[in-house]
Amino acid sequence: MAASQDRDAAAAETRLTIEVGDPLSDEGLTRVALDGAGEFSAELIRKGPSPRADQYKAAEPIGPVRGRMPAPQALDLIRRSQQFAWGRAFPSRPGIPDEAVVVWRLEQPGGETRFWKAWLRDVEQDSVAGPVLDALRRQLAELSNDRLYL
Amino acid sequence: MACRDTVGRARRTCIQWEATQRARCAAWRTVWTQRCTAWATEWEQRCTQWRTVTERQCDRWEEERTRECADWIIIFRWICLAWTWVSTWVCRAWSWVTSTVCDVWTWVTTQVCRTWVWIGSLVCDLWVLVTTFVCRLWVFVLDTWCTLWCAVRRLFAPTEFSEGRSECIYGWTSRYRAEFDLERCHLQITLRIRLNPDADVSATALATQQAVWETAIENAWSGQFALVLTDGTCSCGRVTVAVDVQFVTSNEHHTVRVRSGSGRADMTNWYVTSTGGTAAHESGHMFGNADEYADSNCPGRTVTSDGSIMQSSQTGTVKARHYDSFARWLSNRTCCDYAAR
Repeated sequence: MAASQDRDAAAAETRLTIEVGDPLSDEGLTRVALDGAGEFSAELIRKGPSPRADQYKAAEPIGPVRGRMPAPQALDLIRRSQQFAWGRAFPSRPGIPDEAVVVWRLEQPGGETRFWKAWLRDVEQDSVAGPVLDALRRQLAELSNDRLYL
Repeated sequence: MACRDTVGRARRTCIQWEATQRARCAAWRTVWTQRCTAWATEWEQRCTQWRTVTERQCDRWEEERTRECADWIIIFRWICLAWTWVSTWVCRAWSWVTSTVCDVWTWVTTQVCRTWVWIGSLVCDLWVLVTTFVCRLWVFVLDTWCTLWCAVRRLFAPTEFSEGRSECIYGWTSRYRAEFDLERCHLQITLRIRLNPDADVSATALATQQAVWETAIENAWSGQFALVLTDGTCSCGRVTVAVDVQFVTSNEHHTVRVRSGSGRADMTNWYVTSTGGTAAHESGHMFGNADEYADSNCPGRTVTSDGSIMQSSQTGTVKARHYDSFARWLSNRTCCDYAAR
């Protein structure tokens, strides 16, 4: 019982971050962060590679989005994320043209940070990471009115 | 230089070479025949002149001695006449011998000269024959090589075109149908796409987007540039290009999963909200083009800033370089070189 409570306390202080895309690309990089307490934030980072693309994007600026996810759901996602293939090497398979790269980051109590870089389509099909990605996508769509996506 | 042109030029060079060399041989033969004839004529004249002169000298000798002998007393007159007859005979013999030597010299040297002309002509004709044969053999080798080369190139231009492509950390297969109408000088590109919608994508939404995507792709890619003949001899100097998109349920070139909502589209994953620009950009990959936007995973990529559709899907347009696959296909198909202009 005590061990379970310790794990919950640790998960509550854990922060999961996912970055999809590339800040230099037309679509930019979407960064979403979630902690075990349910704090949810998202932002689009773009460094505008071309003026014409900037004009297109500038027509509808998208700012940072903040919200809350129910704590039990956030804790569940954090726990699931601890089962990810952290540290696995980036796959050697070639990407589909325009396929986004995903970088997961797990910041745990005590300062330990773990990374996992993978192709977006591989993550979608991953039995552990896929559902977590889906949950984050749903939350993001709801909070940003479908203006931000992973 | 297209190989057919090289063969044609080599063939013309051989013909020209043969004609030139034959003319040179004929000219050499004419010059030397004339020299031999002139030599013979000149020596015949000299010999004739020598014979005439010496015979006259002998006649004069005989006349003068005979006249002198007439003044002598009878006994010495006979001796004188005998001396005159002998010396005149010796003189005429000398004239005959030297004239004959001259004639022989004339005949021999003329024959040597004519033999030289004959041998020289023979060598010259043989030279022309051998060099022309070598030249034609080279043309034959070139022609055979060209035929094989064009046949091999044609293998790279099947009607149902497929080619593996890779760029940076991305890899895919470009596929489309290409049909070249030689009469109209027109290249028809057909792109058959099978759309696999997710369960939550409505048929209505899909049908609406299909129409948007089809129009966008065809408008973006058709007739933006022509394929212009840059090298070789082919009947079409300028070939028009049109792209036809067909959404099919079988025999597809590419399969695209259509998802609901919004998201990051790629070549094989589109969203029902994806714009016509996105579809046109992704079809650019299907035609073999790589992305041209900045990507931190691809530091070596050439990032363009000329308003290219492969750099900016929403505002960019197709550039001449994006027709490279079509130009390469047509070049391989026709064995001439074409470039988008």
